[in-house]
Amino acid sequence: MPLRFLFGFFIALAFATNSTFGALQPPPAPTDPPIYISNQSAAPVKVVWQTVWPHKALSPQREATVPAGAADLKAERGVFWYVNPASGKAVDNMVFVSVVGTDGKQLSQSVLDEAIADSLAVAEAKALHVTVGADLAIELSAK
Amino acid sequence: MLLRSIFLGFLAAVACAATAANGMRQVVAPVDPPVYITNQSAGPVKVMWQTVWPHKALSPQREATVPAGAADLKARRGVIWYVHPGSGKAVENMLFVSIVDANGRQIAQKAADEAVTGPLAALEAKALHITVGAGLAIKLSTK
Repeated sequence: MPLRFLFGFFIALAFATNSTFGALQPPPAPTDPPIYISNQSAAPVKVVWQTVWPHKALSPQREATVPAGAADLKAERGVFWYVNPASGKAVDNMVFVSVVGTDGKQLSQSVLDEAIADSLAVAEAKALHVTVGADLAIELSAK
Repeated sequence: MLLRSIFLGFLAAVACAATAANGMRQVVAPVDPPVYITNQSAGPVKVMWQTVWPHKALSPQREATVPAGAADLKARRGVIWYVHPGSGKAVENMLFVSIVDANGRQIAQKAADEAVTGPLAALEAKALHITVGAGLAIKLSTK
């Protein structure tokens, strides 16, 4: 009888400890939002994106080459999203998206406006959508 | 004879006035400051630098591979320095300098503080000096 009691006690203790420590863990940090790219131009385009944490850090360049006519092609890697290590919340991320030529020269560039960046930061929007127009102009949206 | 002298004098005066007026109208735009790199580490390093015009533009990456022990090696291309097209004056340029490995991964990064960008913007400093330390820490200075 006492053995059975002890067995039950330790199992209950294990559950309680696990849930307590689980509750103490910080909330999950915002993850890098995925990128979907559409190319309405006549030729393949190389799209590159980078994020700036003002006065703190500049992310590595991420890129994708998208064939002409592609629609909502998911890039292998999403938007680099800086998170304040102390609070676990997204910082004021500045995202730049560019179309570059084969020689690396920028052909066009667009910066994510605050409204879209905010919606990505609070995870209201699940992904960044990049549309390269016929004239290589870049349009950004989030949904 | 008198008429010819008056005419030549008139021409000379017009030329002088035009030159002076033109000179006054010109504004010296800040040019891309050159970059000098010193590598105090044990191996060659690939150094990359980029400039951000906050919420407006992100420059292309510029880079140089610097052999171990090199001192004040001048990079082929300087710092991209954004200038306001209206006033011709430098905007608030945010400058980031990184060391990357062969896979393009960032090993170290340094954001230039006001003590570096201020003198470059005001043309008090002629060049940006990058020093990569033995531990790959990046030090920025101007002179």
